[in-house]
Amino acid sequence: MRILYELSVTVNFIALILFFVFAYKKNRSIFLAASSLLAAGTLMLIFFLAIQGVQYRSQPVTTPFLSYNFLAMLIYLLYFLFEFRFKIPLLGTFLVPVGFFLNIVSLFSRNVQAAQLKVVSPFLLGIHTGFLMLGEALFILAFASSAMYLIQEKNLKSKRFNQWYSRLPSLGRLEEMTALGVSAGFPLLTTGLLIGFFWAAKVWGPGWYFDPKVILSTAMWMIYAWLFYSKVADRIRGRRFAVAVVWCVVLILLSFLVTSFLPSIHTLKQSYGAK
Amino acid sequence: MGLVLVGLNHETAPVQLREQVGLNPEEVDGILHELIKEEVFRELVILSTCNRTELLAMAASDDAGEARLVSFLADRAGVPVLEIREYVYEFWGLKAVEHIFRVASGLESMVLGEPQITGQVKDAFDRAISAGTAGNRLSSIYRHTIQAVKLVRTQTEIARNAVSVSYVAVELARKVFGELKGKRALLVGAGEMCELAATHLKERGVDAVDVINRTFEKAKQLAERFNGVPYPLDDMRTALTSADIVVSSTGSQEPVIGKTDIEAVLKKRRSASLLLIDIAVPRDIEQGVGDFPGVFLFDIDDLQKVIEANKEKRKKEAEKAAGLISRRVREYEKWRRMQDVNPVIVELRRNVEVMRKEELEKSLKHLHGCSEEVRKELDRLSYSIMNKMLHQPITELKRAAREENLEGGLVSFFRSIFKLD
Repeated sequence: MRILYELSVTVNFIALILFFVFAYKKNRSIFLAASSLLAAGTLMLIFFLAIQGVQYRSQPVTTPFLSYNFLAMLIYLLYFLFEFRFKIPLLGTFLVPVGFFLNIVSLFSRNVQAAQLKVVSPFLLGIHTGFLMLGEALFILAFASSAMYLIQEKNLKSKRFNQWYSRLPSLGRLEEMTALGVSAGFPLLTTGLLIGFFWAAKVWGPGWYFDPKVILSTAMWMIYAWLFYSKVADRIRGRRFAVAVVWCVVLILLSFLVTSFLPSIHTLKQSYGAK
Repeated sequence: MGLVLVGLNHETAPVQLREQVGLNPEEVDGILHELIKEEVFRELVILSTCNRTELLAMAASDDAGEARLVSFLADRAGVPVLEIREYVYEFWGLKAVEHIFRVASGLESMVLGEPQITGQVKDAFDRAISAGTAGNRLSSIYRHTIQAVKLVRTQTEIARNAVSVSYVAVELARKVFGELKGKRALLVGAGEMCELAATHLKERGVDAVDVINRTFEKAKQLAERFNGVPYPLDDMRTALTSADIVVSSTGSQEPVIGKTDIEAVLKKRRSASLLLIDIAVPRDIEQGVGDFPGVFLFDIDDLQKVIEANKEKRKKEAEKAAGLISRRVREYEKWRRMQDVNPVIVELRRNVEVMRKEELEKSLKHLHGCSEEVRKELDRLSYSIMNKMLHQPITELKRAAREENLEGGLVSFFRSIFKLD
């Protein structure tokens, strides 16, 4: 089965290269080739995760290896969804590298055999991580559109009417996409966290909230709550919103990585109520 | 008989001559009827715009047709034929077709890729079709012209980038806001340039255009046209508070919008983007204004920079378009050759079928009382032999039609050996 995963990473890597080539050489055929390869790579990743799930009878988010790949898969799927909705061919150049980065990170993470883990309430665990990851994927999408926003804003401010100016979409559309990512991502993240708290209280018992991952996640949630509120209440717009989103996503990615290496009750074998 | 095109345009003739030669749409019908009565023309289309007058004809003889079209233009201009020849261009056959494709696609226009010419070419052909002067040949060229234009418009970006100040203003507004629906514009000054920009912005979906002007009456008149609100000049900050796009073009020697105005307004705008387009000389808007976050300021030089960049892009796209048009011309030629051979093939099959049936009847008379089965088998046999005999010559004729120029050659030979009419 590993071959399916390796093939998927290879195909996605070629797609990533093509998305970069497309950014410098405007050619529809390159874009179509990149999108098709990414579709193939994503499909392979979906099959790989599904097979893993069936084989070990667990959700594909029970190990860091699977979690990173699950998040990468969500990012790729969101790329297709948002490209279809907003028609921004350059989105792939900004979003796919993040997905691929997660694919690579997964290679260095542990893939404890899910079958070895006797997880308590696996359904709740799956919902918890699934929601969290979908929320995170949407924030990463918001990050990509914010990065495009900042480039386009700089082009307009410094009156650089170059290729990037022509090809990047309008600030209005990018802000709309970012807002959509944040507004859809925050409720999912919140739901994921609440379910996680409920599950942790049930499985880990008293003191679950002292876990570094729980503390960091709550801190992240508060930052996102501020971002979400500011946008929904129309208190933040334009460049400030884009910059805020970029920082928030950088923070969440850092926390995601840092907590993977922190001694935590989240760590596998000691975690998930494994007995 | 051949296709000939004679014309003059902004590159070959001065404006005075173009004015003299140019035809009003009302005049064209009469002239089409008048010229088609002459023996020399079989079909005729006249295209007349402010920058070009062209006559495309199917003439009984190439030289006679060309001479008559040139003399017609000379008569219109009131100059001798020899003099007008210095200003006209002529194209024959496929070159004429290619020229029409290029004209309709905007490749020969003063503003490269401008889309209005396509409508003018369509009107010219439609007028000729309703006047009865465009027959099969010119109508087919018309159909292929429309296909060529569609190809150029869909496969290139020749008409996508703005090349006039007012359109660039709209392009910038769309780069900042995306959809202009729900946005509000403000004109500072009520001059012609402002009005033109307002018209384009309104066409692109802007909700309303407010006007602020030294003469309030003028502001009122213009604002009414665009569902906007008029403001007196000293009410600038109020006007700026609700505007998303500001187009300024006053004759003022001092800036009319200063940093302090924008600073005061921004607090009320909750960092909503503000696009300021200053097309006045001397400039109406203080330069430092563009440093505020969310404020985008462009002056006339910036707009000119966009125009130049866009013109370059159009030139590049024009090269791509020229390649597409050459391809379309080749396809048209193949199609036209097939039109020449199709009647020959139909006639040949019909003649041979008649022969086959006659011979079959004769044979059946000799075979008294043969069964229905035998009759059917003989019919199938003769039909099959006929098809096999005709297959190779027809295939060869079609191939030759696709690949070679058959005019007067293989088609005539085919007609003579098979005794076709």
